[in-house]
Amino acid sequence: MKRKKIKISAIIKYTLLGAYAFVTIFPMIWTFTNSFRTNDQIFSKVAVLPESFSYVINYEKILKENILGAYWNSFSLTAVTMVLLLICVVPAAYLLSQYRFKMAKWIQSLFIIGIIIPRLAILITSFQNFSAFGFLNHKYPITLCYAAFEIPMATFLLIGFMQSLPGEISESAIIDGCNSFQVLTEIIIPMSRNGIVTVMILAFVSIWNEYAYAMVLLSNKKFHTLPKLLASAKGEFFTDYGLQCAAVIIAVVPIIIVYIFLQRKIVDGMVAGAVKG
Amino acid sequence: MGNLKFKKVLLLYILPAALIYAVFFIYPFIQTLYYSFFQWDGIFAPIFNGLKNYTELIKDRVFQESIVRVVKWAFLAGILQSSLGLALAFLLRGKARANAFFRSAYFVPVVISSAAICVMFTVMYDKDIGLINAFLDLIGLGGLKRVWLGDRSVAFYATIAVPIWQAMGLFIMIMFSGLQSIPEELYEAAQIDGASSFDLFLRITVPLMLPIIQICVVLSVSNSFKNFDYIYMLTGGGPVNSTQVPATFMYNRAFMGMQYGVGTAVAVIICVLSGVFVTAVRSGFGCLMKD
Repeated sequence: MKRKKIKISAIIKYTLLGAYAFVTIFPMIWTFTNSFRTNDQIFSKVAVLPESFSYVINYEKILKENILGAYWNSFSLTAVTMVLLLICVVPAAYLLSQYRFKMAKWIQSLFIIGIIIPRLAILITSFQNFSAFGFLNHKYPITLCYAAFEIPMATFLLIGFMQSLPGEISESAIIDGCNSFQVLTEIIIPMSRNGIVTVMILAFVSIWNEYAYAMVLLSNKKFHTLPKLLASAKGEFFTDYGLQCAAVIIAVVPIIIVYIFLQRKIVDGMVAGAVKG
Repeated sequence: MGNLKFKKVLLLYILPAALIYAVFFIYPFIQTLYYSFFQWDGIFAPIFNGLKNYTELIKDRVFQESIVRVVKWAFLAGILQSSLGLALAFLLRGKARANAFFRSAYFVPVVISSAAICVMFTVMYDKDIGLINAFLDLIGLGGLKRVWLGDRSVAFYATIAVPIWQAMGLFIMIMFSGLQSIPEELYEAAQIDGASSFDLFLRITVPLMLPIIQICVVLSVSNSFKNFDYIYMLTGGGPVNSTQVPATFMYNRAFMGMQYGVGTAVAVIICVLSGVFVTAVRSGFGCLMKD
């Protein structure tokens, strides 16, 4: 009797879980399928699998839409931002976590303001400043904005990681004659490698996917990032469903690959970011 | 704070971060506050006009409705994401292989860009070929079919369903990691006393998870207030302003209407509103947790 009850509850449980997995995943499968179909096929019926995978005109067309250029823009902007972020955040977190001085608390609370204020609130003034600085027709200045958005959270999380390191190690290194830069490069960075990787992954996901600022600050077509290109393709090809689906698939492949390989780190990092933030 | 001895020259470590953060975050934020008291078209020098931007905004019907709408959104997102998130995370406990699969599947949409998701849902909501209408046909509810993003009565709900759907995986995983800290013995002991799994959920999980539930509600409320991408890409605030929220209203006034002063005032209102609601949620949960 007992065993049977457990079985029924397990059936209910997995039905619910499966139903929600269907709600999550099926839209993506459907999009993938439609990317291999002609508009006529898409209109004729809903398909779980395409009639044939050999119909790749949608992909050929989207590749002509300079999606490779958008890939390069997204990639280079993300990469430059990550380097900037590393240069900014690692030493800052080192200083704030390892040294005893009065201002540290004060500086930290300034950074916390940046976690609370939504970045949307400075969209207009950032645009005006970019125009005043003469940045609007250049590609890379936006990375400064991206870095500024990510600095508060990244510093905050990294301080947490570095504070959890045993303090005696860096103290004894100083006594042994290391200068403070050697303590950073030889002790703190190697020991907080996991924390740095987590922070960088979080920043990567957020910058790679960013839309509003890329739209406003990089309006020049040469500099369109993947999200911006997708959003404009939606308007341009709004009845060419297969093409839109192909664009979505091409755009999400890299991040899905990253997700498959770094799943644990991404999930743990984003959860930690949300809980601590 | 650590134990190493501080010297002034060490402030160089924080210089790059402080510089970028000050110039590209703090400075524009102060400007936002400042220009919200100005009439500013982006071409001529801003003219001080006191509280006029704010008073005009408060009288504006479209803006009033946009605020009501975003509050509704925050409310729906807060309830749906935390309750569904907790329920699904509760079901996901345990080491079964299938559970690990479900967890990875649920999280996939979280890492995808809002732009890709919006293109996907524009197609999904299509009246002729869309998956939603096809599904309604399939289950015999063809009468409910409609132009989801073009019908004023449903467009708003159809739009906010997208970000709520997309972020669900994050909420499930936040709840799931919270559940790990509840000792399994508690459940076992209650089961021996004859509690059903629904009892376990209500009497053990929910009370112990209140701090995590609070985090989730705060997160979904603040995300709703600052959300711009989905409304902008899916409906642009239309049809006839029926999906307009303060974020898109701000964008339209500033970048379409060249009313940058009004736009910054909307930005300030968004910050204040989000702050007020987050504080309200926090103190609400504070009362709950005291008992």
